[in-house]
Amino acid sequence: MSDSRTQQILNEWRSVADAVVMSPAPPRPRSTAAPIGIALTAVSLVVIVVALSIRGHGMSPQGPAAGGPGSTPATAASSVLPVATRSPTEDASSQELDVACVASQFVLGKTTNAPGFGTLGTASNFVTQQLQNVGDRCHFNLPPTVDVATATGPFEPVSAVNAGTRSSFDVAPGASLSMVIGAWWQLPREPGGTPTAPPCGDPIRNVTRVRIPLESGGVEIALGTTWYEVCASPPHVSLTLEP
Amino acid sequence: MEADVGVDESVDMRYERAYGRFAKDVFRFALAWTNDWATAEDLTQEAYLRLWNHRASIDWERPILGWLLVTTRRLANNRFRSLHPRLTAAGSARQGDESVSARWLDVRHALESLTSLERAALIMTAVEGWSYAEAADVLQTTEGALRAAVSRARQKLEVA
Repeated sequence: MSDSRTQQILNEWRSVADAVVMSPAPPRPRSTAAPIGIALTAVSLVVIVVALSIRGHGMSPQGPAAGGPGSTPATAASSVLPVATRSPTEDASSQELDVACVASQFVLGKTTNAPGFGTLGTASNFVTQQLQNVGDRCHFNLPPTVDVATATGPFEPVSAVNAGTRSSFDVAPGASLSMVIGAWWQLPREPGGTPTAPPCGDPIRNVTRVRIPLESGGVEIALGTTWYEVCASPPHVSLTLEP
Repeated sequence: MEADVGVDESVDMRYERAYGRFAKDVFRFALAWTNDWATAEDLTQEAYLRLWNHRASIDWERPILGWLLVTTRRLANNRFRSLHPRLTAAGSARQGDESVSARWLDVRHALESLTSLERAALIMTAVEGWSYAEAADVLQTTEGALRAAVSRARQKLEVA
């Protein structure tokens, strides 16, 4: 049956899509979530401010403006964003934590690699690398480039596409990250085969090592396989970060 | 396939019911159309926010899923790229383990050579069980064009 490859991909698509976990509650704009509560809060604040004024308890000039009825409730009421579903970790990372992770605080865990389907004369490979934070809490920013190298050659930077859903993580002490590094390349032409345009001007051949650049230094990963050809640009490498 | 809502059901309950019944369908359609997990999550949220905003005026007796899918596709095409920051927490509906994540990257790569129409047409008819006529209606194309898109999609995937 000539459809076997298509069916294989579609079966895999179905299987992966089935893994999605939807939020149990439907999204609602903030503006409609608690209009009565906002109104009551505003009225209460007005009453308090008036009462304090009457009793001669003066407030700082910034008090009413910063916390009064015209500020926060109005902002909340005008928002069209859904009720926040951010995780505490993500909030912490965006609001409090700005210490970037450095390479020396990570130790390498398990490395696995798996071939991809490949399409139209291409091959792909995905390497999953566990990274454990043995240092302090830090913020891991996914870099826009990674360095690749042959077994003995120097590292060279290449563009890396963020194929995941986030570009940074707050990493607690002792916590592990899982990074999936993917690459695709054109299959070598057979002698006498139809010539194809090279994927880029100066591809890097036989890549066996990748280095993830961080704030200080980089985490070097032995792929355990060989990527035939990687381009600096356009991107042939993807990164996905998982907590 | 559609919610059989009763006449006494409140609009809020209908909205929640539409979410419970169709959220995954909307996500899967968005995933098929965009081939991007995070964008599909965002589109799903945005499509339901649109439904919420129109909940008072919408005709709940008509197929809600079709309305959601058409809205999702329009959002993906016309407006969604300009919406920042993301409307949903990226981790809220993520795959639970690395094997799923790696498999998704693999599938995504395999489907990258298809256009949005080809990918959605193929997945809707071959995976989700939609008829060509139903899928063409949601994708706002003709049945003939949809069949051609499915055929092209299969050819592209088989050539490799």
